[in-house]
Amino acid sequence: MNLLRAVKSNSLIATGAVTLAVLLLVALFAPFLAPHDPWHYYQAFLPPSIDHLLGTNDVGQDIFSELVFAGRVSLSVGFLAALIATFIGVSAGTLAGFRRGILDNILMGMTDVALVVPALPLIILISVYIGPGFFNIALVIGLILWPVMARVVRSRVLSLRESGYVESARALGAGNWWIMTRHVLPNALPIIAAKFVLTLASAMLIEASISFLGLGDPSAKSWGSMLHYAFSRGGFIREMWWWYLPPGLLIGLSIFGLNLINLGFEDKGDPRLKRMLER
Amino acid sequence: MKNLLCVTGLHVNFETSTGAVRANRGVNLTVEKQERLGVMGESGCGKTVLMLSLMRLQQPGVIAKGSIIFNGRDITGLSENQMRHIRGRGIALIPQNHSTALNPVYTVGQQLGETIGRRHGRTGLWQIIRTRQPGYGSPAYNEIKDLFNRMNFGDERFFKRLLDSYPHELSGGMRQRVLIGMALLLEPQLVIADEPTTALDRATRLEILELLGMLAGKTTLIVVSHEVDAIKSICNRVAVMYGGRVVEFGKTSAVLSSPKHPYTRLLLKSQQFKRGGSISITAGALDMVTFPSGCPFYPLCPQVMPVCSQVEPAEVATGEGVVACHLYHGGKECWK
Ligand SMILES: Nc1ncnc2c1ncn2[C@@H]1O[C@H](COP(=O)(O)OP(=O)(O)OP(=O)(O)O)[C@@H](O)[C@H]1O
Ligand code: SF4
Ligand SMILES: [Mg+2]
Repeated sequence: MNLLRAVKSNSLIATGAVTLAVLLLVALFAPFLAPHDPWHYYQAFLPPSIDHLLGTNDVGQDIFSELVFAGRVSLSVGFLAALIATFIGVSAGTLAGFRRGILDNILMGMTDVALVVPALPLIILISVYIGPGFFNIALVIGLILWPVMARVVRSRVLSLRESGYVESARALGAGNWWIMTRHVLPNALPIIAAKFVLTLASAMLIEASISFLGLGDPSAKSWGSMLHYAFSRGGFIREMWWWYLPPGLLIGLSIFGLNLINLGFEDKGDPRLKRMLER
Repeated sequence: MKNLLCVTGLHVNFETSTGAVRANRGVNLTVEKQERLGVMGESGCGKTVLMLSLMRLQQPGVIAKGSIIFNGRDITGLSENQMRHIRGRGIALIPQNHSTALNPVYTVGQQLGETIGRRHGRTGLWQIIRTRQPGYGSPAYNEIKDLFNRMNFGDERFFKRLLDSYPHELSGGMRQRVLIGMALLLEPQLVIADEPTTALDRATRLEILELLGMLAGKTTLIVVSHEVDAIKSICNRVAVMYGGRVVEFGKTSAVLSSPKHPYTRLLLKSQQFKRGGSISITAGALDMVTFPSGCPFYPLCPQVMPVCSQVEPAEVATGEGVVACHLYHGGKECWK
């Protein structure tokens, strides 16, 4: 039974990881996999053919090649944003949970505020204000997503700081810094990893939304911006499903893969979720 | 200065919603260099709180009154930073619960290596990141091996496997030995073992006791234990606690063979029937928040007198020992 569960959660993680790995590899080796230069102009509005597998768009760019290259922006903005959110969230959550007191109140007050502010409108506002661009967007998304991470890490640290090995380390003369980094954080790592995966999924979804609204970097191709052009330049009206469907599917596939990994992690760790899955 | 440790009038309180839990209410205790002191008393009488207070780790409890003189210095007023230098090298604690006291994500070797690193003051960022599994033949490896040899550990192959094990792979007795070894690696002046033999089977219990007995004469030792046998075999002096106070204190042989305090007598008698485990002869009759006036033991004392419910007995010297009971009013008051 235990073995079965382990296999189940491991196969969840494996399926998700393979999905994500394929997408990452395609993005990494985009120049070798794309049959055409995605910025080269061919004839516009071509239907799928042998030469142009998914046809061409309104300015005659090869859609399949665009799709291959767009993964680079979607994934890297997502990863950068998730890393920023994780770095801030883990630092703040650890400090709040470990030091408690007034620092805890201030930090958790900040997360309370940040959690009730609707994320997307705020991101739209900020990104209009500071202007589009790869780093700007990643930074804004990261700054919006850190509170969730902070809360999860804080509650884990709160329970870990009462653990026997933290007390015995203290009794042998270890200081706060040592206990935090050597004893508390490594034990919080599984939950940080699971939350990172979810944060990455949210970041990619937000990036796609921003780009779909046309607020992304106009010089970069992402799956979201492809949807934006398909929508605004007649892809939907002409029912060119080969234009608007694939980027949507790829966004969905990424989120799906990430959620599988997260589910596998939580299945391993959280008995409540385990029970829910069994039902 | 013969005394390594001198506790005077120590009060430790825990603020709770129902009032302050008075876990220690004027504890007096002295520990001489190289001696082995036993601390006895039923569950909840404040033994662990006292031990943690000696290291200023009694939080959220507050030291409300009293002094703890360690090595001639009152440590109740020291900063957290100063305390860090006393914890480990000055006073080392072998914690009460061996099953949670080791970090599950590191091997035994890494955790013992970490301890040696701390003794050498290696506590920088690099040491935190690097996992320190002492390599075969390295100075740390040899040091741990020497110590564990003295602790009568098996052959080298067994020892190597032990270093590579994670805590959950070990038996309770083995974890307890690792914890004792961990404390000894710091070469502390005072070792405190808080119920080192609870939750162990009888054979392992004897081995652990033997191990602690070996420390006799090498370092100063405080052993908290329910077991009269354990105290008898290791300790030269014993303190009996009741209701957050030391009610009897003296030479082990004297206290165990002719106990003076009525509570000690009851405690020893109950031990003849019930070996090991935790004992509670008063079955939690004592409310640690609202103490009765007078002697805390008077509702249960077989020798209770009218004065007992009125006045709390002071500690008086009787021969070699100290006892807090109105039966010995003739003795002269000490701790003054
Ligand atoms: N964190 C706390 N908050 C409130 N009360 C506490 C706390 N820790 C200990 N106490 C109280 O202090 C008293 C003494 O507890 P202590 O742990 O020292 O007992 P003990 O003698 O070590 O018992 P045992 O043999 O069970 O280990 C108990 O009444 C307990 O309820
Ligand atoms: S003071 Fe009185 S009640 Fe307390 S132990 Fe002595 S005789 Fe018993
Ligand atoms: Mg205790």
